[in-house]
Amino acid sequence: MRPIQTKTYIFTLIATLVLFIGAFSVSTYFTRKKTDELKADEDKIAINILSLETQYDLLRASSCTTFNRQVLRDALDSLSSKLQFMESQVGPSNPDVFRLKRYYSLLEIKDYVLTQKMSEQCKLNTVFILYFYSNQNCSECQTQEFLLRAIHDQYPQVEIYNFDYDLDLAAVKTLISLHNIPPQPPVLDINNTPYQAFSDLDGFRSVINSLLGTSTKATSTKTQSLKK
Amino acid sequence: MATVETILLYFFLFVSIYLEIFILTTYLGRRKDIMKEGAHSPESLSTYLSVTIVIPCLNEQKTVAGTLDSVIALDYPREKLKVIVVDDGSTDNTWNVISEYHQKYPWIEILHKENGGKYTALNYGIEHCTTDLIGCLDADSFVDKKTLKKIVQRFIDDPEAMAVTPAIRIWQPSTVVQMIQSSEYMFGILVKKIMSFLGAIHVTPGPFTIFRKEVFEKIGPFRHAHNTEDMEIAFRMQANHLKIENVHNAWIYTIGPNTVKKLYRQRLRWTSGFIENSKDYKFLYFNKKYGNLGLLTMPTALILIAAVVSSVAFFLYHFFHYLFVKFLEFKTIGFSHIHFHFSLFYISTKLNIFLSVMLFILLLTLMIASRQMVEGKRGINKHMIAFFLFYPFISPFWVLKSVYNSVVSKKTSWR
Repeated sequence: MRPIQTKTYIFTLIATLVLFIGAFSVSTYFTRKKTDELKADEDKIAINILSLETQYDLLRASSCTTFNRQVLRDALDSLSSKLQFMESQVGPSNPDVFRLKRYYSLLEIKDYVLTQKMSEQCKLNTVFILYFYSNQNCSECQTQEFLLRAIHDQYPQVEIYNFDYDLDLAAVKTLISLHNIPPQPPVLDINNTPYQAFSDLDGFRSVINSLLGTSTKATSTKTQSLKK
Repeated sequence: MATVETILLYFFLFVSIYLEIFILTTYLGRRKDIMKEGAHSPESLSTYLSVTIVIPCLNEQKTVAGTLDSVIALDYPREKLKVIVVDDGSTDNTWNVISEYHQKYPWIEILHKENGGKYTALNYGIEHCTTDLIGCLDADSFVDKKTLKKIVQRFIDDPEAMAVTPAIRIWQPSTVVQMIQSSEYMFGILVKKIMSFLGAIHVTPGPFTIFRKEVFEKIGPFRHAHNTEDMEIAFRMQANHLKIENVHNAWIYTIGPNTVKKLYRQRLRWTSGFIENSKDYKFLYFNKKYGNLGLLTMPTALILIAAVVSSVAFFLYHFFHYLFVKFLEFKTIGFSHIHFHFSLFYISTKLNIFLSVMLFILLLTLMIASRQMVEGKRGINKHMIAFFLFYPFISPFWVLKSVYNSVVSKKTSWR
């Protein structure tokens, strides 16, 4: 029998561990770069919101045409999908992702408050949907996300804000309490009325149509939003 | 589910990378010896040990002539070489073909028996052997004329060597399936060499492994061994501390299965054979008494089988989950709301991606080293590309079926 190469076994073990540590470092480096990118996006959005708020305070109702939220809306949408991707990559409990998500939720609330004010001021026919989901045991959440995507595509007058029901953030908890959101996600608050999960697109559309005062499907383009 | 999957994933990646680094480290440590041995081809030997080559045949009318031609052409003294062809109850023209050779070359002995399986044909031939060495040669393989001398030289150099395995290559690979095997066999030559340094060879292949006669006297003849008699005898030799050597430039060419179906059947037999023989020789596992075979070869081989099974299971789980989500999406909102945004941001940077890339780079490095060792050429050839493109997708099929057969105790047929 050939002798057991103890040295080779140990050397290989060390080399494998070094390789794992190297791969871990590279992975961490790229993940950190991505979270930094998200952080920069969030900062840009925060400045954008602040700018709109300032504009709003300065001009009030004198010129509703000045407010163009489309860039901000697109930035929030992009951030939302990137955050979702990062959650799937490193898990929702990752401290960086968790912090970014909290910040994102705050930005959403700020945007919601501002848009609501502007909508009232400029007499815009906007429908606000606050969507409360959960990452734990929410069998209907996936369907709601599909439905919300379809509504988002079809109705430019509808503003959708997504919130993790379980997120430990005082502002989100205040929103839940203010809107009397029941503790069983998914819940959709549509213009201050909470709805439990929709099962199909037609039911959802009829609620939106009644709020918008239209009987047919809305097909107007996005550019109309907040530019009246 | 996700936690179990993550633990298993990283465990299997760790074992795979560990094994590759182990092979690479041993290769680099012994590279000079390997190159020196690879360049050595003895013109003459100090002693010509007597050798009998046993060729079992079952319906090999198309290939046995080529096999016999290669044996006739062997560079070895005729008086020291005996050939016994055993027809294991062929129903085709095999007997006539070998009879013609017997008439032309009377020193080629031919025997006929009722069909009983390859191991019975081998044992029948071995019963008629009186020489120092006994070699087996499959009737679909061709031996290079210098090979026997190289192998016998090893027996002369190392009196403790009880069996010497050759380096097997695919004969004229023409189909994609044969190209895949060509690359795989080339890699196998390097692995076998490394395993011989470690004393951890677990198979003495049918094509031209040569044994000392005393091997059969000490541990008995070939057994059925789940249709992998060449694997079982290697296990048995290792269990009895009989040394198995390898000569990595002793070329043997074998005709590889030319279709996926034929390859599947062959590999199903091999993998099932490994699993079943592993069960029969389970005492070898993690047993320091049996050296690197018990500590490295056998455990890693079994872990890699488990890795394939669990990878397929997780892949299917995720694939069907994806299909389910897509179906739900279509049912809920149709296909008109599909969004697709490409951005570098969405390229995964998870740890397992980088580890998989490293695993691939290590495997590629080993394959390039194998090519240099076998062909003396560096770089990637089309056979390697075929291997990487197709092997990962076809090999899980026979691994899964082998595991299934083992679980339900289903026997694997030869063909």
